[in-house]
Order: sequence, then structure tokens, then C-alpha cells
Amino acid sequence: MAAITRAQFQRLFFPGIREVVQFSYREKKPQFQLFFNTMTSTSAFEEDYAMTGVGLLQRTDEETETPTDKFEPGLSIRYDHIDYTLAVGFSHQFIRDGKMNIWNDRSKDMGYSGRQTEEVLHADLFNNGFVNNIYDGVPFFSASHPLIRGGGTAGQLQSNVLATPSTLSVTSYRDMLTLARLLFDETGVRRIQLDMKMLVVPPQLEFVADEIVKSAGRPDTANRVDNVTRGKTTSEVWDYLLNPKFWFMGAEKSQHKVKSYQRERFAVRSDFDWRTRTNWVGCAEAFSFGVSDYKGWFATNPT
Amino acid sequence: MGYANVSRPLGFNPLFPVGRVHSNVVTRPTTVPRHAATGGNASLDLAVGDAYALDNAGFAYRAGPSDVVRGIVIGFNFQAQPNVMGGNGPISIDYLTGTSTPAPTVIGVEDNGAEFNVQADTLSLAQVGGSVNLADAAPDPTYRQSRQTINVGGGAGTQFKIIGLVNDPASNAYGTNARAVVRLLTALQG
Repeated sequence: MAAITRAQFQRLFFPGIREVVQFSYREKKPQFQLFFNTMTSTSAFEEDYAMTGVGLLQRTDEETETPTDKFEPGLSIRYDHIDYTLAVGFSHQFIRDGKMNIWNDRSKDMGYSGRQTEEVLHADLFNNGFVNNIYDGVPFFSASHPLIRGGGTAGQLQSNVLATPSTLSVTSYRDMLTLARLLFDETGVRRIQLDMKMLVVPPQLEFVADEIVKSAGRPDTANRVDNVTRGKTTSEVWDYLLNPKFWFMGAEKSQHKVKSYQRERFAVRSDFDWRTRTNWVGCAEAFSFGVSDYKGWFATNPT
Repeated sequence: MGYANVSRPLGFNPLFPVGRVHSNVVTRPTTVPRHAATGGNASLDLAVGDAYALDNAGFAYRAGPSDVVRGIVIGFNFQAQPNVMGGNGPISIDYLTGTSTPAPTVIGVEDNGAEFNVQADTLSLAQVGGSVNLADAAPDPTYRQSRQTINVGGGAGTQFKIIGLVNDPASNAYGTNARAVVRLLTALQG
């Protein structure tokens, strides 16, 4: 592995450079923590296990026996922690002769990249949410989630997407709120309460979302009738969502199981290689993330 | 009527023991390769909730509509999954694939008096009391569940007696995908 040498940055070996502009940008605030349940881990992996309870009660007349039921085991969901690392080296001569100490920016810069890596990868759970299969064998956002007591993929299925993919509007926003009201638990016969907390949109939909969630009058009507769903959720822009038309809705954190585990906090350490006289700064972190239950998040993918 | 009947095949699930006496539960060995269901699905897998028959050597296998049903699987003896860490790993058997070795022992209810909750293709009041066969399907290896149902629309059979409708007015009614109470007709006990 080669380090950075003087020839690549000749300008930095003369006096007169006022500013290295690349290092002056403001960093975005962390975002994914708003959408994920974040936890730490002390193991090689974390595992969740799904199971479901009994069905509805049965009518039992006089002198008849009480029927029995049972809990049904479900699926395991495993989070294998993955390590992410990077290192940057400067030659001894670079540090000895350089007029601007850019080598001191390595820690800060790698911290920036570390945070961005987390953001991009976590957002990919949603960006690929209509394609990549999760624990139940279908994508995170799917009309065909099987239920533990639902008889499998040919039995009772449940959706967390709009029946017809729809661009963000007052109507589709309300359709999604309705969808969230009608979900069953894994028995397929017991409704669950989901309190929808946030409308999550890519940057391109920021103002459409604000108009829907914050307007006193319905923005899609000429006479601006009352917007009865005003303030039903917050509106959150997630800068790392890639598709300009896909939008999402999430429940309170306590009501969804989108999880992120931090196994090793981002850390930087330096090292000097005497054989080549290279000064290295490296960073590392380890984390995992995923979905233990699709219920609590909804989405639509209009074209 | 609450929710409409929805297809949720989960095999045969114990509903009532025999009167106030616990159902007779026995264990049966299995072997590899396992006997295929007669007249049923080609899968050799066996899951909790499946009806089973016994082959000539006494080994249990998933029953098809042309087999003599001897019992219903309610579990397997607790042992490590043989394919993980040479049978010494942390994962226990909760489902039998066609090639699982060593084949574990089936824990089954073999009692003609025991009653089970099972999905029917269709059921009417007039069909209560009838004798029917099961409709076989490969078990679900992901959920480790049986997908067997009973075939009422197919006419008279010899494997199960329909005792009635599962009395769950909030989510079950006569008609398509009704859940029925059935008894075994050809178990060795009872």
C-alpha cells in the first residue's frame, strides 16, 4: 500500500497557498438515527426471533370443552456486524517538507467519510427496499409479506405499500395513513395500532411534503378546504434517498423494528512504518442494520 | 360473521383432547430416504402439523391422500441439527428435510378421539359427519410449517371424520377455506 508523496501535491511545498478549499465544507447533520432504532452490541452478531400468539377466541357453549391453541414459531433475523476501515499514509518527506499540514486533516476527513458511509448504507435499506429481500423472503416494501400464521406465500399476505404506486399527494398521503390503520399482526386476525410519526421524502419532494403536512388548507383544491390531515405526521427530508419519486412513512420508533447496531464506534489511530518511513492514520468502525419486522414502515414507488 | 375466511393452511393442529383425557401421544422413528407420500406431493419433508403414515418397517413419513394416516406430528425429539457442526451445534431440529440424517423421532398424536383444527377447501353444514381425505402439499421449509388441508369438495374419503366447524365466529364460517374440526379414522389407538 502506497502513501501520499510530495510529487502529487507540489503546490503545498511552496509558501503562498491561502486555503485548501476541499476541507472547508460544512458536514450534514446525522440523519439515519431519526429513522432507525439505534443500539450498541457486544457480540459478533445480534439475532431477533419472531413468533406469534393465538387466534381469536372460540365460542364455547355450556358443558363443551375449552378449545386449545398454541403459539407459532416464526423466523430468525440475524444482524452480522461488518467492519469498515480506511487508512491514509504520508511519506516522511511530505510531512517534513510540507508548508501546509494537510496530514493533520486525516482524522477529521475520515470521520466525515465514516459518517457518510453510515448514512449511505443505512439509506440503501430504503433505496433498495423494493428489490432486496428481507427475512421473510420478500422485499422490505412489498404487497406480499407472508404471515407466520398466514399459511405461507400462497396464503394470507399483507402489504406495506400502496396498492397502486402513487406520487406524493394529499390523496396518496391519506391512503397510506389508512393502510397503516389496517395492518394485522402475524396471526392475520388481530389488528395492531401504529401511530404514524413521519413522512419521509427525498430532497426533490421536500416542499410537496411540507405543503401536505403543514398547510392549513388542502393544497390540491381551488377553494383550499380544510386540510384535516395537517400535522398528522412530521415531514422529514432524507438527503440520501436516491429515487426522486419514492416516499415513505414511518411509525413511532417504539412501534417499528428497523434497527441499527453499532459494534465498534468509529475510531482513528496512527502508526509509523519505519521501513518506509510512512506515517499512517487509519480508521475503523463496525456496524450492522436491517429489519426485524416490516410493520411500522410503509412506502410507494411511483414511476 | 367477522372476517371472511382466508386461506391459511397450517396442517392439523390439536384443538380438543379426547374428552377430558389427554390425547395419546407416541413417538415414531423416521429414516432416510423417507417414504414418499402416496398420491401426494413429491417432497419428502415432514413438518409439525403434517399427517403421517408408517411404512412397512415402522418409520413415519408424511401421508398423502392414499396413505393410511396413523397420526399427526406435534413435534420432534429435541436434538441438534445434524448438518450444523456435526450435530453438535446450537440449532435444534424443528423440521425434517428429506435428507436429514440421523433422522429424528417424530412425536405424534395417534388417537382417534383427538380432534384437530384444519383448513378445508370448502365446508357446509351438510358435509359435517362426512369422511374425507387430506389434500397434501409440500411443507414450508422457511416457516417449518405444514401446508396440508382436507379435501372436502373431492368427495368421500377414509382418513378423517368431520366433526364440525371450528366455532370461531370472528374469523371462521362455512364456505371456502373454512376451518373444520376433524378426527383421525385410522389411527392405531382409540
